[in-house]
Amino acid sequence: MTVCVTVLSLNDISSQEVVLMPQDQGWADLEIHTVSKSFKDPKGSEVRALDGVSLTIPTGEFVVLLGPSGCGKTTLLRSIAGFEKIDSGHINLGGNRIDVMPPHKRPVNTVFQSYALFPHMSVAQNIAFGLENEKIAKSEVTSRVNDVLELVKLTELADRKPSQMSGGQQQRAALARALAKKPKVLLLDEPLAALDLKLRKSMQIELKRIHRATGTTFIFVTHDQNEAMALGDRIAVFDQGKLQQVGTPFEIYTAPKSEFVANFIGESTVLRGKIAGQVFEGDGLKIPGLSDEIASSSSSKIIIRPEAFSLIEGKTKCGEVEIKEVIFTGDSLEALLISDSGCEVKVKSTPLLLNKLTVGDKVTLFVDVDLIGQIA
Amino acid sequence: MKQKNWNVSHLPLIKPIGIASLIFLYLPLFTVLMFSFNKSEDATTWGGFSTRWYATILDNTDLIRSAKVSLSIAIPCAIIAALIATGLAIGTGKATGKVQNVLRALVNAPLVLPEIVTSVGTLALFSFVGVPLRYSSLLFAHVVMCVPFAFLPIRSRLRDFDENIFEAARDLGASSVRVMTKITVPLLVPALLSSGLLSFIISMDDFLTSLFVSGPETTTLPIYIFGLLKLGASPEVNVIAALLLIIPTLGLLVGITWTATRRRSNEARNK
Amino acid sequence: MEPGIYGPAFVSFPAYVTGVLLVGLPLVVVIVFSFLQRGEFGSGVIHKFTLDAYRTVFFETDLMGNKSFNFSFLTIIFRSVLLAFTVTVICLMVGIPTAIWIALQKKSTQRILIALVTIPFWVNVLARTYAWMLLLADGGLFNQLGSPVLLYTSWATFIGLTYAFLPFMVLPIYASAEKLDRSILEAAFDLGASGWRVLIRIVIPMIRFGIFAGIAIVFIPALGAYVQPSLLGGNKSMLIGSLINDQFGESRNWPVGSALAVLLLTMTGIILLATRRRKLELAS
Repeated sequence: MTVCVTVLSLNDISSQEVVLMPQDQGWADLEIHTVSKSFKDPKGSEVRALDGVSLTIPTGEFVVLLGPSGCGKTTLLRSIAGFEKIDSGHINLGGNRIDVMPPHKRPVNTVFQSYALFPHMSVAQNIAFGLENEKIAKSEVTSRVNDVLELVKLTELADRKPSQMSGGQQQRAALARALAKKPKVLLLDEPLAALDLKLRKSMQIELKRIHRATGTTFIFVTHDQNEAMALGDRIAVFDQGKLQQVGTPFEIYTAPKSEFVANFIGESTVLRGKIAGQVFEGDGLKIPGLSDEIASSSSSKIIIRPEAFSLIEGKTKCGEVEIKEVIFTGDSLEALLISDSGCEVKVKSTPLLLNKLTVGDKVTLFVDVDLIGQIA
Repeated sequence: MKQKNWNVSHLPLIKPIGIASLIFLYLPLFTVLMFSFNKSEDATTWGGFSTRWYATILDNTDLIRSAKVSLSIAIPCAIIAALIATGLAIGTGKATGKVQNVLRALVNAPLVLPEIVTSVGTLALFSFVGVPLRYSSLLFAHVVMCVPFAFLPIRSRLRDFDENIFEAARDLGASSVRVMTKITVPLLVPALLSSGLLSFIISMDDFLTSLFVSGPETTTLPIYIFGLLKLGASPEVNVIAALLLIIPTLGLLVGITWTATRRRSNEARNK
Repeated sequence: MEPGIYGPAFVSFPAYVTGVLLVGLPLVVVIVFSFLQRGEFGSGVIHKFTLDAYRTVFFETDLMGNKSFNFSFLTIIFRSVLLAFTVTVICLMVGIPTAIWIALQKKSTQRILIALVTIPFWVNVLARTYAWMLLLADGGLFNQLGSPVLLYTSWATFIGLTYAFLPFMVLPIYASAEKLDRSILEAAFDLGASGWRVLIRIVIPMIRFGIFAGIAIVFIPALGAYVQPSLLGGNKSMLIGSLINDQFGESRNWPVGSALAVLLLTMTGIILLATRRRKLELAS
């Protein structure tokens, strides 16, 4: 995947664009090859934090590592940064092997969840610290510090100490500090977790803007699937040390490859039964007219999102269900329905149906067969 | 029997014993203080108020000399022990190798073993190796004794910090030496001061190790005082004991009020 | 060596060197000396292997050459253990309530009270011991209030040691106690428990780590104490500390002194292992 990078010489870096110099194609491609890592937990037994993970991230992509606590996403991030040593496999960046390098030699920088700003230094000094570790002239250090401060919109707070700033400001300072070094890859470890909802949403937009402006590869760790789908060019879903699925948010949402992914991202109904002749039968429902992509199987699992179902005439009829629960959320109606065989079906429909549904009623269930995904 | 709005008096005997123990702790101290102003020459029986014995202190050249010896050991000891302890804290970090654990246990041993064992051992070692008992040998012995104490405030302060800060410094390209000089040490400065102060006090107060390891030229203040005490109570000793009481107490009170005012001004500034 | 997160590993080497040279080696030398022969005229040692030192500690030979179990040294050892044990018990009985009392005050009061407990700690042990020389002397306060002269008796040593070590017992227990969740105590009272029950069944088990620490911090130094027996006890009833000092001093028998030190070291080691294993058991 080629990324278009604007060519600017170092002398006319404008305020909005702290841009990387163009280099050979793939110069910042990150390749993670069958990486494994185990820990000893307090009781002494081995925990596989990473289990044979392989992933390739092209230059300039915004990738989100998503998964529940303990799934390995943070361990992978720290392994790329150099704070964890991997047990097997290797990690290449731009063709060079980095997993054997100490953290301070890797062209990779991290934004920590706790921001980790140096408390005894001002914001400007925090940012300059990273630059001073390279062989850069003092005048250039100052200009780069100013440029990155403008990028994150913190210029007025340059001389403040971290204790004198709000959470959101500290977060931007941490971001600036990491970006100032123009790393090939920027690692972000749940950086927005400590912010309140409104601030988090505005920071998500800011992050996308900064990502576009710098063209740096961003690897973002979160357990919040909404955040993942809002931010990522691609999402890598992890569970128990294994990479479950990688794809664009759309792919992950509409075509989850496992029950775990289907349930972790968004709501879903998983139906079990047999498929023959493009007809599904199981769990009290019968769905004809399945698309050709769906393979026949005697014990198959299909997944259907709540909004693919409907209680209004129009799509394919699939069975009779009883209403168990109705929840009105303002912009939609969420209903929990039970099929004849006792299987729970989650349906999301227009709120206008509210007064037409009573708990205990039997209604007809319809489904849009084009939106059905197959797991097994 | 249900208790609503319980307080500490509902736990039996806690309050009376607590108060009694404070009285127990301070009664002897007040006694010494009081008796230093005793007019009578019989040190143990009260004969009226007077400050006459305080005046004799300055004439006591042996006392002054031994105090100088103690200071000349305690000040370098404080500096060296604080530095060594800081090096230990920084160099070992969170490492847990077997060898490191053994070495750290050794460094900590003076805290845990009875002082008579360590002091006798040091004397035996010096004798075995042929080191004469003079200033430098006493200084070494003191440093070794103070390091485990000096280590405590430093380790405690390091733990207070977010570990990520040090990782961030590495992440930003700093070699481990630079992390130490630019981040760790500046952040440790207050702990270094308390470390040095702690070592100073321990060295000044030390008796047993000094007794065994000191030679004829290095009579420290506690050794001199012990010699006086062996002869029994006397008005001069009353004054010396009272001074040993007053000086650290005043120092502590000054220290406590200073940290309290700093804490209050920090809290006000951060609001 | 891998650098730690705070800095390079080599800065810890000075500490390791001093630890090995000035803590490890002295212990080794003491153990070695205990197996050597007493030097000429009593000073130092002769490098010849012998078990004489230990024989002298445990046995005695009378003029006829008959060996019998030596009670004098063993009595001293036993007396020291008994004294240290009693001091520890009394410190526990006074220290635990005191620590709990302080921990249950409000924060500002806690700081003041702990400062009060800590201050005696900073006063030189000689001055604190001398205070009891004054109080317990013939004509001193206790005597004048009707008690017999306690100075230069074992009682004086006992009081002096308890006084010296009480803050050592209070501080670690307080460190445990201040972390106590008060709502647990409230819940216990709310469920109708009496004060004693709350104390014994809830508070004390929850602060047991502090208690173990306090026991180790008091018992071990009390075993090897020298200052208090020397100044207050008057050397009439000797303890290990004074005995070792004597062997390295007037009696000039370094191997015997070393043997006694080895014994003391062994006892210390046993106690440390015992407290550490209990901590590990309770932790798992």
